[in-house]
Amino acid sequence: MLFFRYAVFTGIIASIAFGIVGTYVVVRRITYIAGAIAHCILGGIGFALYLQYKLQVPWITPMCGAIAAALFSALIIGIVSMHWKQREDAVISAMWAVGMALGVLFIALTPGYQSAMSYLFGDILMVSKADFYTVLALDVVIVTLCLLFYNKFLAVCFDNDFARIKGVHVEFYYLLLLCLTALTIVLLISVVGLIMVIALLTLPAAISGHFTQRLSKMMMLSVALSFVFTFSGLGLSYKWNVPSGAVIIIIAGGCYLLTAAGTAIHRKLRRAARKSV
Amino acid sequence: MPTNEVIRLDHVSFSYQAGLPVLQDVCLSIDDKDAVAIVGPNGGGKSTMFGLLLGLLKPDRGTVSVLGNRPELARERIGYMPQYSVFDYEFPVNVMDVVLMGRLHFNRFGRYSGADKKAAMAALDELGMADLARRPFFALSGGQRQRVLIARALAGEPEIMLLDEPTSNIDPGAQEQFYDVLKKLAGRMTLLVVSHDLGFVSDWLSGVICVNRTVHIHPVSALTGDVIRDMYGYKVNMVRHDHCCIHEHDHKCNHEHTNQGIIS
Repeated sequence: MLFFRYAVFTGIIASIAFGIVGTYVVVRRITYIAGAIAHCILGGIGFALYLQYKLQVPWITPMCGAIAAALFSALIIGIVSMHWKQREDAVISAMWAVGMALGVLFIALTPGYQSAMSYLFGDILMVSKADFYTVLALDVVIVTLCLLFYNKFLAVCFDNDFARIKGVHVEFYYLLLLCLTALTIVLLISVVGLIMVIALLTLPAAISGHFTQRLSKMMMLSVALSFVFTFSGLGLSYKWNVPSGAVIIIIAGGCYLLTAAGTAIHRKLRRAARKSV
Repeated sequence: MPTNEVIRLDHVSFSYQAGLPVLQDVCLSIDDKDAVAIVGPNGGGKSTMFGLLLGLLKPDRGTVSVLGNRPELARERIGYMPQYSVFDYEFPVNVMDVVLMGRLHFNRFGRYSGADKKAAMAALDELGMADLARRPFFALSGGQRQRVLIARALAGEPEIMLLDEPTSNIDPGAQEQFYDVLKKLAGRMTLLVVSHDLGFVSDWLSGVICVNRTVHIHPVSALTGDVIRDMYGYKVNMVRHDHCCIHEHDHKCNHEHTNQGIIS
């Protein structure tokens, strides 16, 4: 049962980062950037596997490759989106596809049998002790920075120019936010895999957005929801013997649809009630 | 050079695209505590001028100085209210969150103190919005939002206030109230208001700057229909808000009510 304990701990601590960073990603509307970073990470994982097995460099683990690729792609995308706004989406799409292609290629070139499946679709039950400690360290870094710079991130996301006038180094905070997003995606990949990253990053925040009107409350609710989704998904997948990542995402997606429909109906009813008065 | 000059533009040119200057060889000087309306057609360079004063844009040629310094060094002392259209109105913030942003520069680590909250509340109170401090920003009406954005600028204790289209998106009734708010600010700080509505041309203004690639400065008293027609380059319809219609028969462009204000 040891593997299950690591899975549970990983889920608990990672949810905190998911909720906080996911909220920033949703309100700043950078989900497509998050998607590109996630796919670039496969390139990093593939390259690390290749180095590890072909060149026998044992310390280059897939986790190292993932973190390096995540930060590298976040910085490239960030710099492009600040200085070459007109071509931002083209560059992001290119990185999305090329990162993925590099990953597939390196994994194919790596001797011995390597499957990309666990990275693509995630397997929280495969989290090792070493992975767990890496996840814990990343989580501490992400949460500390997000809380420390809360007001600055809020100002930069809400009104970039005004924040700049008030002496906030806007470029620095934007790149920092993208790097924190990148690190969060690394955590997410170990939970749900890179294909489904976007869902667990954005759905809790999107659901919270239906119920709260302040960033801090949205974060707290998102953390709670990530928690609930990860655990109910993990439990059900264990019970039914199906992939945990997929179950987590289906629960999150279902809740999103329910709350979106509920909010729409609620609004309509309220409008009708106002009319009848 | 007068010693109380707070804004100076020296032969400033700016273009977003090479060969298409938005502002060309602009010279301008504004004194402390002046209240100036900036008018001109859309695309004439009004907001661009604010961008230059705030150091958000760099001039291609010429120099901009604010409070005797480069704009980047002086801009924390400027209160700025951007145009209505720059905001994402789904953003989860309440009124107090927004106003507190005006005090970011007092706190290097971005933590707000009790004094900051007090100052933000005072700014809201001044604009008659104190009781809405806990409301979500996007639940407000257009006029209320504009007031919150002015309160945000005011909370930073500015010496210069730049307001970009503060009367757009509010209903005509609220506009009159709005002029009262601006009138209160005039005299306390240097005030620059972009508008395409000449309802501003009131007694509390010290001048009107017409921006249409080049800049013309007019004292308020000299602003007649002919001058306005010259600066826009074509016939415009205008409504004078001071309603002194004594010479109506010989000032035929003053009372054509087909269009509201000066709208290009």
